[in-house]
Amino acid sequence: MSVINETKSAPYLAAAGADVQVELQFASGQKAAWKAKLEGKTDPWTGNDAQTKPFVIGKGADVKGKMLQVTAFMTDVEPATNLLAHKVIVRAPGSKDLTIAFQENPTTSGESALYTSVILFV
Amino acid sequence: MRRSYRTVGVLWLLFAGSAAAAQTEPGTRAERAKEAGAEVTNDTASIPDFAKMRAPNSPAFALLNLSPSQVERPSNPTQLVATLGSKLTENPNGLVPNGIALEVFPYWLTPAWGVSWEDVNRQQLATPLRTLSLSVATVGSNLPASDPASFTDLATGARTQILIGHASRECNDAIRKLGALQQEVVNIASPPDEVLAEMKRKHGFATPEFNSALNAYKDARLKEEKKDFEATLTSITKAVHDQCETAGRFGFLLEAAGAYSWRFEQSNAKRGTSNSGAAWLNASWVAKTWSAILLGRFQANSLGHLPNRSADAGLRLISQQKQWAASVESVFRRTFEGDTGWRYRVAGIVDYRLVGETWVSVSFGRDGLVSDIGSLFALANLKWSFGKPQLASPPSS
Repeated sequence: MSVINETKSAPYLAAAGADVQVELQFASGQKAAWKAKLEGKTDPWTGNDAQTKPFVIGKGADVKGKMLQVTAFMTDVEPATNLLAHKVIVRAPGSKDLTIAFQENPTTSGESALYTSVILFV
Repeated sequence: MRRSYRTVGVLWLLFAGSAAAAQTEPGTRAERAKEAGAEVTNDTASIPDFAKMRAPNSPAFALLNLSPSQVERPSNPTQLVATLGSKLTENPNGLVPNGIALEVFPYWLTPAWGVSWEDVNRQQLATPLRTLSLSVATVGSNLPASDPASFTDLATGARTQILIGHASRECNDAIRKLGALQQEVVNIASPPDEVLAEMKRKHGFATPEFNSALNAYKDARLKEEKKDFEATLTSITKAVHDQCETAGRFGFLLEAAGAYSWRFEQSNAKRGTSNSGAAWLNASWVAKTWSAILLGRFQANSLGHLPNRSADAGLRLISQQKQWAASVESVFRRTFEGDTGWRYRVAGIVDYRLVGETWVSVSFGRDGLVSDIGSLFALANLKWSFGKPQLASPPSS
């Protein structure tokens, strides 16, 4: 069994006083676990496919110059579809949302994907 | 003493088997078990697929009595359009294409964002929509299209699960193990700050080289920290498949299905007439060692020499133990044309484990559904089944 391994990265500009919020989404009833870590912060945020409530990582001024890495591991367990789709959405008032999206349609059931998103706050 | 009773019982079963040796039951023991005696005699073999006790997975196929070896199951809109497009362009002259076997789960054609495994596996308002499947099938008469007697039958069907019961404890355990492995993987595959900063310094940020370096890091870390990772993942996903998918669900289940078909003379799309229809409603209670299924079914056929409509009500009980398994079913039919009297069918099957995987099976019953005369059938035979037995095994062991 091979695991799909994919990384995407993008910069994001947030206003200094704005709360920077991160939301993770997983599609179609697949099982997933994730970890989000902000550079310089010791406690990461973690969860699974059912724990995807948006969370605030700090003010624009606090995160500026830092990288946020979100690692997600998804496995196809839903018999009706083989889709492995995941999104990371970064929001801050006054800035356009950033969406990093992954989507794979494996031809066989039970496949897994290891997706990493890296966002640099500029 | 208990051993003696067992021996006497086995001898009785062997005697019954030799008495009915002239009839040989087709198919494997597992297949027969699944249908609870639905194919034990020639009479019952003539009953089409849609006469079985469960609502069919693909009602359109069942209505046309088809068991296609290859079913197209597009999983996204692009595949669906491509599949339909290729079938429609095969016959540009307004002919109904032959050999369609298509099944679609509309809810899953596009990504269902925010729908977790837990959402799908607990009863919700959206459950009937999530479990809805649509099926389309066509079958031709094997005559040239120019032959006035040629035709193509087209059926469409829908099936849904209204109540889905619950997954087994073994399924939940397998899912928990998968979740733990996934969390371990993301911890291993997340690079420390200094590693990420070094990649950024070396390759620049958001460059293809940066992304490739991170992919290589993840691969290397998994190989280094979790040497048995792929084997473990394969083993757990197999357990999830076996316990959550193959073993089925438990508790109270309610399923509904319906299908309708048309006949097109000379396969001409403009010369279609109603052919037949059927609707199924299944209520069942499934426990680890027994299950009960209640069936309501309506069928109508407007073609042929005797147009008819009939309604069935049936009950099937199955007990599955280590040493034996038994299934009994009865179906009552009311026909609305011609002889409108009640007809019935009763059938049963008993499997007994002689030793290891050697089983003896006895089937019995009376089939009066098709003809009111009916026939009493009794059949026993000795079968050696080297695979995992189906009827005699608890659904999830």
